[in-house]
Amino acid sequence: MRLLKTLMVGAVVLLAAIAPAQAQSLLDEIIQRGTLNVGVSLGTPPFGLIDSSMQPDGFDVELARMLARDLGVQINIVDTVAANRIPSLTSGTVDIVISSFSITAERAKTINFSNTVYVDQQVYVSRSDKPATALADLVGQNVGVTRSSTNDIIMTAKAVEGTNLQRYDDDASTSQALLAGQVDGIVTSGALARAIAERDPGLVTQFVVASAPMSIGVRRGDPDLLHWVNTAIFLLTNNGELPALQEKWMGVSMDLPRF
Amino acid sequence: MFQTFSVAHVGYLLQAALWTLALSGIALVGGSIGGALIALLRVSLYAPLRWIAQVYIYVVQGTPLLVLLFIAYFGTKYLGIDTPPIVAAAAGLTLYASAFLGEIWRGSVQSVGRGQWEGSEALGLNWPQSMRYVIIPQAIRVSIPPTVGFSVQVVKNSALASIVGFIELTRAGQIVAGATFQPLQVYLTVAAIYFVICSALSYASRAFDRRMSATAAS
Repeated sequence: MRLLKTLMVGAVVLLAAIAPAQAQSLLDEIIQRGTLNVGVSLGTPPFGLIDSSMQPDGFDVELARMLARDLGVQINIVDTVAANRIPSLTSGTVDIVISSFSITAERAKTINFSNTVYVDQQVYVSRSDKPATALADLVGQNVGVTRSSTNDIIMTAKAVEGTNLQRYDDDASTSQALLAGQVDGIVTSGALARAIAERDPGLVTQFVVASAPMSIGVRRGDPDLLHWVNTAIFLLTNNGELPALQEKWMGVSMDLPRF
Repeated sequence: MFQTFSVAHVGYLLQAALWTLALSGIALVGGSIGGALIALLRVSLYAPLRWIAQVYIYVVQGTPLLVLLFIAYFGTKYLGIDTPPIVAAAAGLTLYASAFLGEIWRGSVQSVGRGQWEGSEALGLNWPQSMRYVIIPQAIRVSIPPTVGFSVQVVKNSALASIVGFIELTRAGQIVAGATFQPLQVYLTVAAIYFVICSALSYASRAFDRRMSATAAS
């Protein structure tokens, strides 16, 4: 018991010794370093993807580049899978995360969210000959979602009993299941639904399941950086660059809710 | 918005496959050194050394590789140590491969009959000499098939290194599938590349096995 106590005291002392090293604001550190490290998932179109010359591209990537430009530093895009967005922030692997990051109360306990940069809608997409207007219409149907993404979380909570949820590993596989007719419909991001309809006009957005405001994730305990990110979003909104970016990648621009 | 799956994408996948090869290579080289040590400890004459190796194997084999990589990367960062992704991935994969290769090789060493030990003792060889000249040469031949089987698994498991930010073959496949929305073609290509890597491994092991048999026969 005494040993345990000694060890615990030792750990606290050790942590306290490390802490002062991080006392300087991350914002200053980024400016000194000259590089902004941004976590983005490159497997989540239209937010993060690779272009035809295999370079990072997409809504999140372009927004990250704008922030680095406004900060006067170089950009370093770090491919970050969805499940690693929060550990990447809390461990300091990246400075900020811009990765179709939906604001939830649960996540906000661990990290800080900036003001919103886009409000995505989770929509139900199916063939035009299989219409549906509400979740109750999906009873007895096979509905595809992407495992542990926002649409999976929402559908797991909201689906009416008797709805058969099929989970796929990434958005591409979920859409493929719909195109191949393995599922009756899928719940996916509104931005993606528009892109899918371009590929196959027989697929239509039937109804909105939920809306998901997305923002930029910042480590907790660094108000300077959080405030700088919010300032940048404010300026990009006012000068029209953020609305133009939404128009380019999502096909719509919108008034964004603010804290 | 979507591109068509093209030669450029195959090039991107092949580039990512180099990372898969590099990560597997590091894991197998590191794991061979660590595994040899663990195997020797496991058959050591001193009980405490055997226990240390036993505990190591229990802990590592009982931990998913994903968790090992997570600890090696994020865990060290929380402690204030800045670990580059390559170091974290190498450390995690080496820890993992050492435990499994150690256990495979321990089994191979112990599969060599007692008579061989007694024979070398009768010739006046001590423990290290018996190991070096009598036991290990015979154990190597026994160990080749399971070692290759495990190596193939390491190649495929290196995909987990995508959690520390590596764009290796599997992650590259996901990214290309996202950009093209043609997952079937993309994943078939990814599977073909894995197949080439793994069959090259099996082929090399068969060649090695033949050479060993030839030496044993002569």
